[in-house]
Amino acid sequence: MERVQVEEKGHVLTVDISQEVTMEVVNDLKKDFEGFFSGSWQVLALDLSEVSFMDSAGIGFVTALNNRSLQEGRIFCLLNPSEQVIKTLKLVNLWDLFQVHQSLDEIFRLYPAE
Amino acid sequence: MLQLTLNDTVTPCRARMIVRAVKSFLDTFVTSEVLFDIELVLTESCNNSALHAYQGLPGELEIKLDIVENQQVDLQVRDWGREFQCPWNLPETFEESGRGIYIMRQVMHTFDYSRENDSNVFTFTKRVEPEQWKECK
Repeated sequence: MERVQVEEKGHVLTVDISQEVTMEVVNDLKKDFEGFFSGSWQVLALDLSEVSFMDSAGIGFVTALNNRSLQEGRIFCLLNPSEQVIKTLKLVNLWDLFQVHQSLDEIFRLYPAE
Repeated sequence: MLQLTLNDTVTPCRARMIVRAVKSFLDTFVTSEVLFDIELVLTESCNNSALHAYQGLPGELEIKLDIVENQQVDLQVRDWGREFQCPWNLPETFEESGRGIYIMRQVMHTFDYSRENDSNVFTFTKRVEPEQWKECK
């Protein structure tokens, strides 16, 4: 089974992680995303709508994606995160760190192609 | 009081499976809100044992669960790996690790770590409100 579903539409790369984001899968996810960062996209939208559980390793993974995107002058945002993800990010005071959007339309409207 | 003791071998790949077994047992008694908190804490604790105490190698793990109906759930997680240095505070915003202990302290009503006879012992209590118990009589 694929770990992630990827769709590149114009300048936006959407990656859908429809599984738990925990220590046992984070290393594999990091390898997947290493490849994605070679692309020319400007906005990375991480779809977490179907993520039922995230631990501190998952939090670290999402934080690392945000850090790297910022370092490379790109935009990183969360797309429609699940209640469980929201609760976990709020628990560690990281909720305000991320740009969060409810739809791809919203992302295209807010971040038009340069 | 209802008690459950689980002994298993923990590895980074096996930690979640162990937690799911305990979660499945607890699901009979408490609502999803309480279950979520306990699952999160157990996951962090088992991850600590697998990653820090045993450095990714297989090692013994013991989980004790006491359900004091209409009051609380007590948890104890023990491993026999390297001593753990608890990072008590939340790391800087952009740090990519070090939030596990903070999570445990935030969601449980009591939290304690001790080193006993070459073992790491994490002890927690989650108080459960009357409306957070499932009808399982």
